[in-house]
Amino acid sequence: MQLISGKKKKTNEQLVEEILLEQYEQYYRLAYSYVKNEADAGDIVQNGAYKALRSSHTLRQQEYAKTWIYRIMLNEIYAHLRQPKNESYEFLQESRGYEAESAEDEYVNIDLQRALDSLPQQDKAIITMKYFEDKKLEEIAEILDENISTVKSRLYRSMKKLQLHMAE
Amino acid sequence: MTGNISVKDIDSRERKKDMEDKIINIENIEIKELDSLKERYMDVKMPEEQLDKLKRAIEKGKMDNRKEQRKRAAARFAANAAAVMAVFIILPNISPSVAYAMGRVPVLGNLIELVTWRDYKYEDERHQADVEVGKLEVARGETGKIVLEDSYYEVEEAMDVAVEENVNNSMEEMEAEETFNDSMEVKETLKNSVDDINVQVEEITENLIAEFETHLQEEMGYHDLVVKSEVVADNDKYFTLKLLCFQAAGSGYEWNYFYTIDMATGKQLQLKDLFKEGADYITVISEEIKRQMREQMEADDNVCYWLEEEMEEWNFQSITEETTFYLNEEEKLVISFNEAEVAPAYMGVVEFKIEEDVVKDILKQ
Repeated sequence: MQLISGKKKKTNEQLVEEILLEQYEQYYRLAYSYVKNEADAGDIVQNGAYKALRSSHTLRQQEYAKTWIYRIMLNEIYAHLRQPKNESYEFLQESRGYEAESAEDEYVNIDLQRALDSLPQQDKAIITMKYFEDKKLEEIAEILDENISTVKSRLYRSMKKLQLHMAE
Repeated sequence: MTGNISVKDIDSRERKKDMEDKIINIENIEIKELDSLKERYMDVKMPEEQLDKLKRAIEKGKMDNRKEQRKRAAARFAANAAAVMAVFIILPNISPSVAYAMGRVPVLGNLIELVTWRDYKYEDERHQADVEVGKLEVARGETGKIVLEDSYYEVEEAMDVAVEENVNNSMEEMEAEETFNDSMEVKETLKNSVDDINVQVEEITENLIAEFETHLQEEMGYHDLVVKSEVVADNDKYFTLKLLCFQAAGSGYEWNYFYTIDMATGKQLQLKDLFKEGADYITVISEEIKRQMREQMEADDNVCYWLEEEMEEWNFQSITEETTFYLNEEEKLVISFNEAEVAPAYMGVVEFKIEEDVVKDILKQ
């Protein structure tokens, strides 16, 4: 029986689900780098995934699905950070564990990590996407819905800040 | 004042230059220590329990989408049904002359009736089916549904009269017999058409039910099925049956079948039958549809058709001889596209009314 005459095309929902199941580690480590605990990072990715699916019908062009979902995840992170911090026991334990672990790791520069964490949220995201996720500037601009030169100058500014910090 | 402006000019020029420098230099800034941070960043893995939660969130999202779609489809169907009911019930109540006219003139269901044939309902946590499909029947004299069968009686009466007056007027007899034979032939054709439609509708419905029932055995997933039949038009010229299908497995998909019978011949109507021999109705209608698509998209940002997308193979090019169509109650031609055929799925089933002006030159008279 022919359901769709001729052209068969993935629905937005199918596409979004596929991308989520393919890329969830990426969203998770991004979220984790901000909230530094498993439960919150997990919540962020789950909420983002639900929102992406529920609004998948609004996605106009499927070729932008990946950047679109990434943007949803970023917004989910920002929204989470805006909430009043709940310094639960679990939260404190986990973040302390994170610091302790890094202290043991001699290759990790804690000062640089702190400097990176103290950057404005968006600037930290740009550095993360560029240097950790190896995303192209075009893609970052698309995700942030900014033009490339804005992204470039913000990246430049942030890198200068980090460099200064390292020189201290 | 002029001094201010020139300072600003210099300032913005410098800023521009400064920006250009940044762009050139960006790759030169290197912080080696970032590499170790990257390593640690990439080491973070989603724990199993969080992944399970993610999968559940995905299922929940799909389920809620499906619920919403089902609600939308049900609302659409209810709206259509209500419109048809309004013709039946409200008019006779409010207007004696309309009631009189309906009794006299066979307005609706004069020859073909839709009787419930397949009623299938099922519901559990993950599955829901709502099937209500009618079977078409050509009305018979003895069923006593007089209002519905006026015209058939008229034919019989004419025959009776003709027989009685047999001796007196052979010319009248012959005419009456001719009318009778003609209408018997039309009725025979009509019966065949109705049988064909019933067979097709039955096959579609049974297949969908069978498919639904196989899903009941599965341990995972959500499945929905809605199949409904509905008379869209029933007048002296055309009878149109719509079969609405909605199937959901995660995401939902809605599509329709339309069956139109030309009451003058009793035959199932094809799109080309409406037009003069050799007329290029395909181009005329396709261009009109494109025009309407553009018009709607300009008027409303939420409306989207695949017309000028980058992925060219998805763009709507042209209708075909088999494109779904029907004639509505106003006898206007309507072209119907199933979900995701010419527009993103969120647009649902889309229809285009083709005004007579557009096709008047090629319409068969």
